[in-house]
Amino acid sequence: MYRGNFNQAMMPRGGNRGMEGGNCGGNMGMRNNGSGRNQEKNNAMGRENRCPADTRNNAARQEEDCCCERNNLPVREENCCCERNNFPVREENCCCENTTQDAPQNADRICECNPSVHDQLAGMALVMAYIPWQDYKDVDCEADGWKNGTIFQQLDFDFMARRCN
Amino acid sequence: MWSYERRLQYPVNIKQTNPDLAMAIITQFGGPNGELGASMRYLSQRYTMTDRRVAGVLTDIGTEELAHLELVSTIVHQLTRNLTAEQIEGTPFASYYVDHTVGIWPQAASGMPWSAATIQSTGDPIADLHENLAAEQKARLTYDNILRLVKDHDVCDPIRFLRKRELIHYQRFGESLRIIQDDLNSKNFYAFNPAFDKDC
Amino acid sequence: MGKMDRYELLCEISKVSFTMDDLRIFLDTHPDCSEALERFEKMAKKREELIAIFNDNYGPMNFYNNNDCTEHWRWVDAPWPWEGEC
Repeated sequence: MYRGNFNQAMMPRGGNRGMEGGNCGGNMGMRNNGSGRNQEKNNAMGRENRCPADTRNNAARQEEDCCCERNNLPVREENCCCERNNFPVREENCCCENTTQDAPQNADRICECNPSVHDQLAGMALVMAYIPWQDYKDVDCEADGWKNGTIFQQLDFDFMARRCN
Repeated sequence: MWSYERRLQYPVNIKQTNPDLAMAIITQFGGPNGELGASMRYLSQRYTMTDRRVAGVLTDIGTEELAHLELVSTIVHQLTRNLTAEQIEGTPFASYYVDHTVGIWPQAASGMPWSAATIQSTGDPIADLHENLAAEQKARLTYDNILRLVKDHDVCDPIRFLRKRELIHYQRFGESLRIIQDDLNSKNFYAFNPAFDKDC
Repeated sequence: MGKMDRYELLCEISKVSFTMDDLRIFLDTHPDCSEALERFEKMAKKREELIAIFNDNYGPMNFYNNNDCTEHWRWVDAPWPWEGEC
């Protein structure tokens, strides 16, 4: 976290940018490991509070072949804990399938062997780094761009722990 | 081939000298994460790049880094010009002064002379671009460290500009790496070095 | 535009040139982006005009444009960029 004078002059421009530092909130593109243990992560993803273990028998079923069903977990539904914890319900990528554990409190650990099911980069080749492509948008005028050090607002991130203006 | 324009990429007008701050900022001239190294690194790597777009990025960013070492040197110069012996003696700047007076010499804040050992040009596009991504982050963090030491707006302004450029360069090298990846088979990026093994 | 003094003109040239610097490296990785190309061309035209005014009034900006010095080499007359305005 940064220290220093967090005053109005140093507020990052724009609504989506200015995510300074490594841990200033949000997932920053990190994968949700589907762990219901980490309530903060689920909340940051905009999910409801985690599903209490005993709702599994109250949730209605949506799909016949849901793997959650086989593992005695609640199936995909509005408040289903599978959805809340971002567990897949499909056959192919279902991580629930890979476990022999059926106790609901172990549902949290099910996806640790297959984190790619929650990875935004799933499908990209391994053993490589990927920087996303920048689009041509949010481009400043000459005067503002020069002052800011770039004409591209999307790339404009200030150092908030500086002690000068 | 290089041409020179008689202007700075960003203005530097510093009213107050500060030799100790100059000794910290000089590290972005000749230090391990500085602009001289960045420039030499990129201008050296471009010859063996397999994709012309990437060679373009290296040439253009390498050239911009020359403009940046000029900015850093100008800042150091304006922080130390017209100093008197009384202002120098007993300060950390005195040991630099005794060898260089108030001349500008490429060294790190520690006093280590600039060295090509701080850069690499591997002849392997994937390795070179990863080196460059790291280099831009190192340059950025060094400017962060300098900004914690600066109170004077006249110094803050160009340093913030220089720091911002590192982020943009990072993005461009990231895109360059994507371009190199596209030219290779993702089933095995490491089957061969496209800059060396010609008939694979 | 109204007459600018040397420093103002230098700043205008720097703003336009910097925009071209940022666009140049963007275009290196997005060579077919028509919007970036259009903005670059617009900046290049503006820059050419500003440089011409600078060269006429304050001496050569580049050494390749140093073509009016039949009697005197103006390149060494003007302040160097590191001198600053202070």
